[in-house]
Amino acid sequence: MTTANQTNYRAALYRTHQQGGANFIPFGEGVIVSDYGDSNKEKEQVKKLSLADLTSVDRIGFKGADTPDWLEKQKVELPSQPNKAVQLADGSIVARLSSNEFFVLGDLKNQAQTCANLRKNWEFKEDYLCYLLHRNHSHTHFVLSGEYAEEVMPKICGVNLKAPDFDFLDVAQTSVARLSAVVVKNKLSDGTTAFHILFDSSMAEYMWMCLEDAIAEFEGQPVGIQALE
Amino acid sequence: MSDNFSYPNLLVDQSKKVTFNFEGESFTGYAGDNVATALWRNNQKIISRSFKYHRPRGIFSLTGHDANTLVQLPEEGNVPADLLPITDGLTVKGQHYSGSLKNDYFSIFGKFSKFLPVGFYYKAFYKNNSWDKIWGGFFRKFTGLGIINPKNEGGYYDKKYLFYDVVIIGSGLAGLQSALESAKSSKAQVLIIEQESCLGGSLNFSRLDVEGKKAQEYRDKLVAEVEKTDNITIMLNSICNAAYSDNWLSVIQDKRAFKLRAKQLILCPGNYEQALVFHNNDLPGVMLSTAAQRLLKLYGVKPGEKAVIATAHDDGYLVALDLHEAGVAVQRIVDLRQNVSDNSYLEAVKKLGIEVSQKSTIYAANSANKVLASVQMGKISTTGECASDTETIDCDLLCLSGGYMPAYQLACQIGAALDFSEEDNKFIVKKLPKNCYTVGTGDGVELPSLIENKAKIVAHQALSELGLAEGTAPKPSTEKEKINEFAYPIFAHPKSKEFVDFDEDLQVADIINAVREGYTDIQLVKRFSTLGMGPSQGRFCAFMSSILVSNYDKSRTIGDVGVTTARPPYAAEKIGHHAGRSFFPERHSNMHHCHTDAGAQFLIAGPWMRPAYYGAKGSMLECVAKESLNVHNNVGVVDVSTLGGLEIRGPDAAEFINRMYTWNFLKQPVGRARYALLTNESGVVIDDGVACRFSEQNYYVTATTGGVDRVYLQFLKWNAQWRLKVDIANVTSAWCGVNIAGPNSRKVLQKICQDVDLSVEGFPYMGVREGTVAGIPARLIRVGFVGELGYEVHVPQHYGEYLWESIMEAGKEFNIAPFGIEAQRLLRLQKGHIIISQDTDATTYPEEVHMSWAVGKKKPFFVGQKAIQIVDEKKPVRKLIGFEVSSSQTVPKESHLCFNGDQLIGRITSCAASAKLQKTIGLAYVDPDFSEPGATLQIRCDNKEMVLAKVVNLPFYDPENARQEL
Amino acid sequence: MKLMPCPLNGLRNISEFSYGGEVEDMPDLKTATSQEWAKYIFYDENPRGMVKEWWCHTATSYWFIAERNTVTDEITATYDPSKVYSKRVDFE
Repeated sequence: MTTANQTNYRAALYRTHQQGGANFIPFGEGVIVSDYGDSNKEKEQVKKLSLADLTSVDRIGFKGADTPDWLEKQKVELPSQPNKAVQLADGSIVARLSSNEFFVLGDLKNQAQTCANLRKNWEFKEDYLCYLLHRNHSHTHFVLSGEYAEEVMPKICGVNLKAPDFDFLDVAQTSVARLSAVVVKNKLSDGTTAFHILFDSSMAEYMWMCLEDAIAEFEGQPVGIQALE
Repeated sequence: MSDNFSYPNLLVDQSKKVTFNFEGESFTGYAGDNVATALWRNNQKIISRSFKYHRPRGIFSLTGHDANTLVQLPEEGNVPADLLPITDGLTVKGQHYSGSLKNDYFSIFGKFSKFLPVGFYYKAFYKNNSWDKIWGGFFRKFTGLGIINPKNEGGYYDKKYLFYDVVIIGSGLAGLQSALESAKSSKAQVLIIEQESCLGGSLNFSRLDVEGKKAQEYRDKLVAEVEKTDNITIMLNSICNAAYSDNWLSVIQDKRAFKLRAKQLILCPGNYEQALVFHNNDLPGVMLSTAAQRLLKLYGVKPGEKAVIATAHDDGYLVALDLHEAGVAVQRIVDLRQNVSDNSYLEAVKKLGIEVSQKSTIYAANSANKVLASVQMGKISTTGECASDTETIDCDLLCLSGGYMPAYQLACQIGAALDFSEEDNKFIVKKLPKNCYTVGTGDGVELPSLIENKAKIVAHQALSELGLAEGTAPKPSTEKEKINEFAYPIFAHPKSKEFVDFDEDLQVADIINAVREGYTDIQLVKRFSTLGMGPSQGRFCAFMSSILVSNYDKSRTIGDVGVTTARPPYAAEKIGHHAGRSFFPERHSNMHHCHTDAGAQFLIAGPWMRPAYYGAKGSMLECVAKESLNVHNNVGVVDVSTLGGLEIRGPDAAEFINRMYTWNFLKQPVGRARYALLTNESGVVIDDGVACRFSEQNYYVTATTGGVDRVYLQFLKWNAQWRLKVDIANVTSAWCGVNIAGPNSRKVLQKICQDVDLSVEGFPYMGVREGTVAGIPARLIRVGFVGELGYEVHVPQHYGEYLWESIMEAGKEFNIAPFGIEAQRLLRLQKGHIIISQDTDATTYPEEVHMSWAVGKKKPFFVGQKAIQIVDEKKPVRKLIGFEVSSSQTVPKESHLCFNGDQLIGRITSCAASAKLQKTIGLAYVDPDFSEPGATLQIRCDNKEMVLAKVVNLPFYDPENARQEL
Repeated sequence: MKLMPCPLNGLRNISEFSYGGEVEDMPDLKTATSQEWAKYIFYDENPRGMVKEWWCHTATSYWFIAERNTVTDEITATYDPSKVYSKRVDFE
């Protein structure tokens, strides 16, 4: 049986999941919640309203004036404008935060190698302005999905994230529940709306509490990774 | 409950009885009644007692915006009875009486009104000390209104953001039409905000014509259309309480506060009917005409049996028709004007045998059993005066139609001006900002056809701004409204009690006296007399007071006097609405639970939770002693994850750091750390840290926990101007770290770090290395902050908990123990290290804190350089010194002052008892004359206890720095 | 609450930003008197009319320049600092 603290890579939030009755499985460098006891029920819940902790899903960032050049050399498709994202064939999402800053999110099955390859291939080069950011450590990744997701976000975010003002693969960098965050809107494989929320990892326990409170109005529930696949 | 009176009404379901309790008595009303209407239905006309004179009060406006009907619930006071629905078992009491609501002993204060003039408190007590000793308690008892229940837990309040293309405030004739016109573009998302529980606004109770059918016809047609229009959303029971820049609105609905951004805003808030001012105009039974209409048509309650209508507006005649149709005997219409505007109204009432007295007024209302029993009316002899031969008319209902004041508040909040039109005798909202419009009676327009016309024009303009308009803009109508003849509505009485402001019990003389005393500007009249400061916030007295002041001071017109500033909130709201969910952001280190498991007590540092000490609550001093001694003797470990971290990379990395920090960095060797002191352009010390050079173009610079975010932004701002080839990243949360300190720290680290030469030669003091600790990639920095051999180990954030466990395991044999922030602060104090913004303040420059050594003298530039040069040329006014106090004396605290006799010579910035040194040590700013080692200071502690201190050299501990450089 | 047109993120509530002072040129380091330096640090021009100001979008740490009318409080233009600061600055 996988325990939450069996790896070196741990998020403090695992204790909250334990209290919620989570079952864990190895995932990436750490572990991830596979379910909270009933993954079939959770699969249905995802369509309505659900919250999942994707801290162990890989992510990486790059910034600097030469970054677009480097990423293109790595054959990574880039969004043409800031605050837009593209989804790669392997499921990874590349979000462009500014003309020179990019944030890459791994896929939910953790099979895509994009983040790992970029991490492996990058090296510090003098006079070449493309710098690695350890987004897998500085940031935490939650996903809020379901038909009510667009009703929950306005409770905690002052930017209009509803269609048509905010579309799939749009990116918003703003304040969510009083924290600076990056929000990427996407679809799950069955078309369910999903908001990917990236924010400072030291706030994970606080943000989880805020979101659990916010989704309660619509009977939202936390779900594990199995429900999302 | 009164008889079988029933009248077609909008809100009440007479098949459902509801029983509630008022003042200990049981009352029955119907579902849909509020407390005020249910009581009136049962002939209970006294609902509260007034603020100052404890006069009996009852229904006045029935809008929920006056204070005459405030009642007390078990969980809270000051609840408007007009807005409180009755439910089975509801327990309601009156407020603010002694004895009973019916027989309030405090009503005797009415007799002393001559001794409680306007400005009473100020005049009586401004020099007098007796307030605290004698009078304060007494006045608190008989003034004030409802009672707070401190045990009331409040409730679940929440917030939500909303975004709409067109927002309409109000759903009367103007609001409904504006909404329909705006929704003609199917792409426009339209929102109606309505404060009542149903659409229709004044269409629900007003009479627009002699026949009495128009209002209902409009209502039925428009409401039906709105309800079937897909792109119109309706929010009922929602009040827009504030309108801010760029159409940002605050809307309250039950326990939720909405923050609404409207691209286009159409204000259709309606207007407030105004009263008339005469002796006893506040008796229960005297009410606004619209209140009587609301009673009748919203709730099916008969407002009275015998009515008199006092009017300065044609609408008073239509009210007479309404009352007559409901079986109320209308005794007289007292018209203050010489002429009716629409003669057909006069003919209609005459046809019903209702007598009309023109150019007449009410001289006084009279009571029996504390409620209205009759009125005295007479001819108006001159402005504000009634002829002495009056006629008495028995009545239990007196309806006042004093004309109207637009609900200007939201418009004025958002920047409009309120002008008075001499021609039309009305206040009109003007100069609304872009993307904001007003339609309807709130716009000063009463004629339905004109309202319809403006709704079309405004909607077209709003849609144009959105790029959604079709066709050409409609033309403005040329129709003109009838002008209502102005009638001065205020009649002073020798016995006073002619109320201008009911909330504050302000009489005519009170306002006149304020102006007489020199408080001529209406803003000053308000503050001196408290006019308009009560719950109704001037809705029913602003117009009256500008008329009154203008009549008294003939040099100013009504428009010159004007009204006071409208500020949010428009109506009452709870602090809970602003608090929302009240979640307070908390930052946790990855090792956070290691600390809770080890029994830490936490302190809050900004949003971070940091372990202060490890032990039972209240045992801080013992824990600090124990933890610090363990660092001196064995090895301790402290979590430094909150420390700021900035990665500065690129060809100009060293150049950039050289320009920001005071010292020299261009030639800093790779593998070394240097103390980094940051000053701002005024030369003031604002942050510090350590700059670690990991390669030629790769720096990792630490900053203070509280300062790093600010420092990061300042760095970005400077480079936006300098355009150097450097990348700056705030990596505080990407890394976490510990400081392992103590003579055994090297031994502990050697057990878990094999790929870095940790010998003193291989890794000297102030060196930096990269390697692997407990299998985790790590950065190691040898620093001396706590004064013992020590290593900061920084690892990527998610490995923190594992790192801590590994260190504790490896250190077991050396008696490793965690130490908290309080122990860390003592240890650094022993070394004389300053903490930014504890030992520095907003004017500290390097020389004052003996940091001139860290200022590079030959650099071409750094931020703060010029200012430091200027300030260094002046004589210093203070110096930060170290002092010690014998352990037998009281331990002084930070901010305690230093004296030389009576002369104030300094203040303490840090102070603590040191277990190692067996004495109290501290840092203080002192006058340079007292800064030499050996000088004595007298420190004034709590309760003025004096303690003797001696200035000493820094550092207090290990002056050779031998221990940290082991 | 005012809307601010951020060059990077579009129209946003002004609560997402922090103000960074007027845009000012540093006086010549070598020749500026202490009075001139104090004026540069402590005084604002505070013109009646158009003023150039630094603003920072907090969530992205993005600095930009806004032109605002101090009488009407209307923000007439916002742009990247590179529009004003296009060349590298060196100190001798």
